[in-house]
Amino acid sequence: MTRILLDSRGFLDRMTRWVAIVGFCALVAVSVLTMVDGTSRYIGLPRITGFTDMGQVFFAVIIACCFPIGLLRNQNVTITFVGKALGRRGNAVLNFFGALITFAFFVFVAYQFFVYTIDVTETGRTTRTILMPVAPWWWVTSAIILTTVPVQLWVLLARLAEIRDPDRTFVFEHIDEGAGHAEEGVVASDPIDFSAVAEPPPADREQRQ
Amino acid sequence: MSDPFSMAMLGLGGMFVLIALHVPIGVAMGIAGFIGVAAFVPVNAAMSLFVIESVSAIANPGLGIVAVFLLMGSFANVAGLSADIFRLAYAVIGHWRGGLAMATIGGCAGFGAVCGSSVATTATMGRIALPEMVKRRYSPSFASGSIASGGTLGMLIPPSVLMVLYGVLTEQFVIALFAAALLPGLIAVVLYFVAIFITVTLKPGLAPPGPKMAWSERGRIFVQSWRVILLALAVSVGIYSGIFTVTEAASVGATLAFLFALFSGNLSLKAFFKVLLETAGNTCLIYTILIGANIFSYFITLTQAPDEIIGWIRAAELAPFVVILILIVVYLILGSIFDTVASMVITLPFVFPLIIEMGYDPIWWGVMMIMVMEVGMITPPIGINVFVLHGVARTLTLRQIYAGITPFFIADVTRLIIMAAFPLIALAIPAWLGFVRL
Repeated sequence: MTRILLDSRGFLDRMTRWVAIVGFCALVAVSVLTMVDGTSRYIGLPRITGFTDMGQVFFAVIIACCFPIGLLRNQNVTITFVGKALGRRGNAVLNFFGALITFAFFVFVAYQFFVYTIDVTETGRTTRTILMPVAPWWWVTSAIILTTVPVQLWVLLARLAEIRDPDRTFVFEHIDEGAGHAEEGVVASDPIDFSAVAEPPPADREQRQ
Repeated sequence: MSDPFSMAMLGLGGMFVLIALHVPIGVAMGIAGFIGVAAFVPVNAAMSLFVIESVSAIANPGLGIVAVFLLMGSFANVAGLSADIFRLAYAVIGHWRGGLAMATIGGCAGFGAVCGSSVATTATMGRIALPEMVKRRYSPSFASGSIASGGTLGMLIPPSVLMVLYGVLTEQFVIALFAAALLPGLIAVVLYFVAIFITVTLKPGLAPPGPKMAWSERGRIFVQSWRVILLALAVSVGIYSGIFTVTEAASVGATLAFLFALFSGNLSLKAFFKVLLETAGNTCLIYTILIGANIFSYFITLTQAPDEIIGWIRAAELAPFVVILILIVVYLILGSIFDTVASMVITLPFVFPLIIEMGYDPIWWGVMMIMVMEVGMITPPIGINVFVLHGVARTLTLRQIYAGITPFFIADVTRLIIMAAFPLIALAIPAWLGFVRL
């Protein structure tokens, strides 16, 4: 199982990275187009027809792209102080439980997305202004959301493997030391080496001693 | 246990148990909300909440600007704008005793105007300002205290991601919230300056004065900082003057920051991908919490628990100011142990109806709540900014950083008292712009 987990990790990592990169490249493009559309009002250039309409479906696809990588990289805010108090194996068991509930959550979400998309397709829903069919966009969104299921299944299996071998970490840890608190996903890295800059002042040296 | 209020409390307790058992906060809220709703309506109807709330979140361009602001902050960082704003502030006031700490506060406020996140501001300024301050023989404790505290300004100085979320969730005009945060942000900077001045007057050894910069050198640095000035002006003036909508202003900011990063030479393909992945990760975090919170809010609304709480407060005849004081203490505690987005979205279904019922302005409360939570970010036991800074400078102990924060904490409490006593401070600019009626 360990080997399968490690082999599949590389594939899932590449897949989720590319989904996020493509999606958020689109976000850069949408930002540029929104700026162009906004400034066109003042410089007499033609506006982009139905841009607001398109924005709604574009944003759905773009935002969906963030979930697979967020799950694989353990980017969600999790409070882990109970697990830390329980020791390594206890921590691993709780991590597994957290991954199991998260898996159930995303299975529900993915299933319901397909129910919704089938409904959108059958009713032939379009955008309000340019009457663009929205079903194809929702199929893309649902397909991206569906990838969260195998990704979280991998995380679940990795957490299971960590119970058997608590000294080993399979998942991408993206949690800082703030009691497992990773607000806004920013993790402090590249520590500053004070000695490389200057000796601390005498008062502070005394304080440390 | 069949009465709705008990159900609400059971749901809330269940959610906290799930959170304690390592379930991500957003997922815990979603699952607890789903089970709670399923107790009132058929399971199929409860299941449909997963898609209704997910679709309403991800297809909402109003919320999409959160991702655009995150993108702007990441590109601004790659472009080196944080260093520019720090140099600019240093050129102006760096030669004063404690001037470098004041420049850090100014830098944090300036970077907050192009970033919108407290944690990112703390991490960035920690890497830029801390080595400078240590080099100038500042006490590491005092230096780190100024950065951790200054970092909290990122959440208050507009554009703020948290304000966008508050605006969308409570259906308040985001621009009015941004306008309301301007004066409190300015007061925060001034009070931090006062705290630095008093501290270094009492203990001059903490922060020696630096060399004075020639005016020509200051002018050169000002010119060199044109990018950050242009970016902050384009976003702020664009929003407040009505030239752009918030979505357009965020897009202008993200595009300019992208161009600055591109022409700075720092934006290699690898760095570009890193920015996109960082933004995607942070967006996932916020949206998971939002989707879960929306499901949980639906459940709480079904139970009518907020109405019951309002009824209790009426019966207890508590003065509104006392209720606000209690809420401030609760948010301070939540801010010191919880994620800020989670603290806000978990409590809004209960607190927001209460604020409206007591006759307070929701715009004022939005600013007030964010200010309290930002103080929580530097308050023990967790105070996330302190941990982020500890990650940047591991040789500093948490005790040292917390000790350095003390003068700034006093300044924060003073600001909270002023803001609670005089709501007009927050509402003056939105009223002047015609967004609220006084």
